[in-house]
Amino acid sequence: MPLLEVKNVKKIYSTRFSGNRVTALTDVNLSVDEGEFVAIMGESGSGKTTLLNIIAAMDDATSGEVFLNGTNIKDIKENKLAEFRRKKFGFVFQEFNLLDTFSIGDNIRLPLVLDDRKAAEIDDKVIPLASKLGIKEILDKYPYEVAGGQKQRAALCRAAVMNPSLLLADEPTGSLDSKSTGEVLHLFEEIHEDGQTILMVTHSVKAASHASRVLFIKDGAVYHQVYKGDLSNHEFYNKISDSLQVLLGGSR
Amino acid sequence: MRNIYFRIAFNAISKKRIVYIPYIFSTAVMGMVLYLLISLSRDSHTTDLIGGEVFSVIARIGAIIFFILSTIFSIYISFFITRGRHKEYAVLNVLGLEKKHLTKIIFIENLILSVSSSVIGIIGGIVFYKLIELAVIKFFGGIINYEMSFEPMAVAIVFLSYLLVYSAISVIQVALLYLSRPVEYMKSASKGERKGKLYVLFSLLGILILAVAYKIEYSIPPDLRITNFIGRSTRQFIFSSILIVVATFILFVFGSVTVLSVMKKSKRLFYRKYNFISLSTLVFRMRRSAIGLGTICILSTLAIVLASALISFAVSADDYLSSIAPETFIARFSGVEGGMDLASIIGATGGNAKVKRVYESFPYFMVYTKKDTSYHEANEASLTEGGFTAEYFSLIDEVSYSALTGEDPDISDDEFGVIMGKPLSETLIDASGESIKLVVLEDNESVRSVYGENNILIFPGDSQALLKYYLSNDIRFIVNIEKSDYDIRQTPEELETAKKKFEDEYDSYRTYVVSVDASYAEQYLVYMNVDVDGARIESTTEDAVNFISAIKGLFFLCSIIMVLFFIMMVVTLYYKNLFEGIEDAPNYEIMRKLGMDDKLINRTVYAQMIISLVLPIALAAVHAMFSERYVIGIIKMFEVRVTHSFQWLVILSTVIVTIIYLIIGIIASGTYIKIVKGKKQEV
Repeated sequence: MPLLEVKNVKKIYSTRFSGNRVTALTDVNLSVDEGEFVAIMGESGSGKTTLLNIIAAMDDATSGEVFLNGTNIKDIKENKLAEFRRKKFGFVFQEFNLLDTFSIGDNIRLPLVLDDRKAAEIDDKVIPLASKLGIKEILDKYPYEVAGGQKQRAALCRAAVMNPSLLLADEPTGSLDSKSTGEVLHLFEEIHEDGQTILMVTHSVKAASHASRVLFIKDGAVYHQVYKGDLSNHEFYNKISDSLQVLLGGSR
Repeated sequence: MRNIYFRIAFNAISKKRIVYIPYIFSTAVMGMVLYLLISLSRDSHTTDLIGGEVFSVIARIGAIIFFILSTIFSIYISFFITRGRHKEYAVLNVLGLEKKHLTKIIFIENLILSVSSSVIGIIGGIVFYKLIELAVIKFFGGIINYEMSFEPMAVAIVFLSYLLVYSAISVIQVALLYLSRPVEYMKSASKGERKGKLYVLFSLLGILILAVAYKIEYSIPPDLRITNFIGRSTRQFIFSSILIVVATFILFVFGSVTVLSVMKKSKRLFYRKYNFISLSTLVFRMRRSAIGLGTICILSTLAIVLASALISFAVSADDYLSSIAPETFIARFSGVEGGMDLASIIGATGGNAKVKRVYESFPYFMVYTKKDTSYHEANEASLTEGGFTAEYFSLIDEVSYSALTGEDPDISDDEFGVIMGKPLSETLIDASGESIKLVVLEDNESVRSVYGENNILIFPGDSQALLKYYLSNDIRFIVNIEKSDYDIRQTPEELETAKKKFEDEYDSYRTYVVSVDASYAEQYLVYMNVDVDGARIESTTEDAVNFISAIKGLFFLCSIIMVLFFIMMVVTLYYKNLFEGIEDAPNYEIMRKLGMDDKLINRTVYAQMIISLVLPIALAAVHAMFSERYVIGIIKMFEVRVTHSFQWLVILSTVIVTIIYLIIGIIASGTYIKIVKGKKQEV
């Protein structure tokens, strides 16, 4: 059984007053197995983020179903949803979404604290992971005091600290310079190697080339995918580029 | 083109209704209260009340205090509001509007705001005026009337006040605009606070200053009536109050962060979901909040001390009142026709006062002086040297004495009864040269309650006989010790005329003393509402009434100041929550994504509110406790005995202030919660 299964998901937005309907997703089907690192690529407005939000139960699908570990997300009661998200998902966003009122360390501790973990357990989890991600020294600093790459490492640390079933990343390198991008993607790979399942949405070929499988989404539906197999990141980069050139008419 | 400034200004206000409507409304309410105070101080319906003069002065002082405090507050709030506007000015500036154009926009904005709030305020004032006037009249026990009144002068003063305040605000805003560079405003929101050793050091300094202030307050002597102590103590009190204000702000700015940081260091305490979010948020923005919290602490201290002092005064005043207005109410009705039914007159005042006794009271004294000393001389001597050479006797006839005491005086027809306040060393001689036989009667409480410490002569006979006796001895006095001697200052003709006049007009001088079984409130009701043609009423209640008026006036002033505090608290909390809500909304959005539910959001918001409520009020209560010496000292200046515990009153007032604050806080937190849950649109 796959870890995540998305079946015939459709999303139509209608504006409140004019009644205009905009179809964001027409019919999405995909599945992610445990331990996979999947990237979803598509142009701006292709519905990538909408899909991610539906998977994370932050938005409702107009029709279709999403299963995580065989549980239909729709069946989860409203008051259990926050807990479900906290326990099952980790999030990394383009804009880091660190809380500016919290130190870097407290940002990372937040999901554990929300989960009522013991004080000793919290630091046992946070410190090793922070060392691994190279941010142990900045745990007492505030987000505005550190650079973009460090913020995204902190966000990654926060997402991974709960050992979620699925780590969701939305354009995690979108706001980073190329050096930081490389470092952060390398860390994604490391975490993946430790067994973390990752689903990343991006339009960066470089980011996608670190994944083990890339899905292409166009006009609200998945219509192609490529596997990394034994290819190196560089080779996979070229393969993705080629696919994009053929399938999307050259746009990146 | 000229209209464009107006349009920009108008759009800015109408688009940010959520910010400006409460601002307009609160300044309108302040204008309304100002209008009410000025009108009350000028209204003949209120100034004609008993104690109305006092009230008028208090209302005028109240208006001035109110104006000063509201001005400061309006300027403070305008800073709050324009904080959000600076980015917009910066964008307009970058787009090509010069500072002089922005100046125009600022002035137009303030013009729109001042006109709308002054119009609402004055209309509100006119509408509510009658209600307040009736309340004041009722409160002071005057005669209700339903004429509408309108004070053009009050309208003018209120308009002028708005003009002044908004001009000041405009000038400050323009000055800030010229002092700033637009780029500064376009930078992102404020950075968080870093703690350090400096914070600990300053916190210790704050504690030290506070300790010194408390020490000074506690060194004020418990009784200020001793000469020189009042001035020195007042200086001490003012000095320590300034120290307390300084220490409070230092403690909130530095101490709070230090304490919160220590709390954060305890992992067991900090790593709990409610504490975690609340503490982090509080530490982060404490410096900005600290000023607001310090202000709330000082305001609360004022409110608590004022309320405690007033309750203390009122409670103690009861003591004073019962000494000047005994349980049994005694009123002198003069100018009342004989045989008039005073019981039914008193019954008609509407209260439950029951007439116990009515008796005719002789309105004049007898005075005897030592040999060869006229009354005038004696009187002057008594005034200038303080040594009495004359003694006074109140006169009462036998019948009235019985009516007053319920006992027959045991005297025969040629004897006078006497009740002596002071021992009498000499013999009394009447006009014919006969010495008066005196029978000393026992002191009697009923008599004392009417005549105080005077010596009292009880005449053997009824009131008509007493009148005759009095006239034959001289209208005005003189029973000399050694020989009867008419007042040398009056010619015999003058004396004759005076005697005749007194005899003819005796009816209009005729005085009845009524004693009534009634509570103080009932006495007051009778005193205020008795209505007999040509009759005058005098009573010890009159002193009490003046005293009560002063207290009521102070209560009124106090409640006006409380209203102001209330408005200030509501508005401060509203804007604090509004702007913090806007700042925090993205954070809560992130937290929701990370799996925080709405229940937890509510709880952390209330936890923060409680912390930012408990801290200032707890400190305010401690401040108030230490004001005891001075406050009680001042109350004792009124010769009032203070028997209750001031500390308990402080606790009581603190509880009341806390409840009010909690209600406001919960309502204001609603705004915050709505914003952070995304139910209100961004400002």
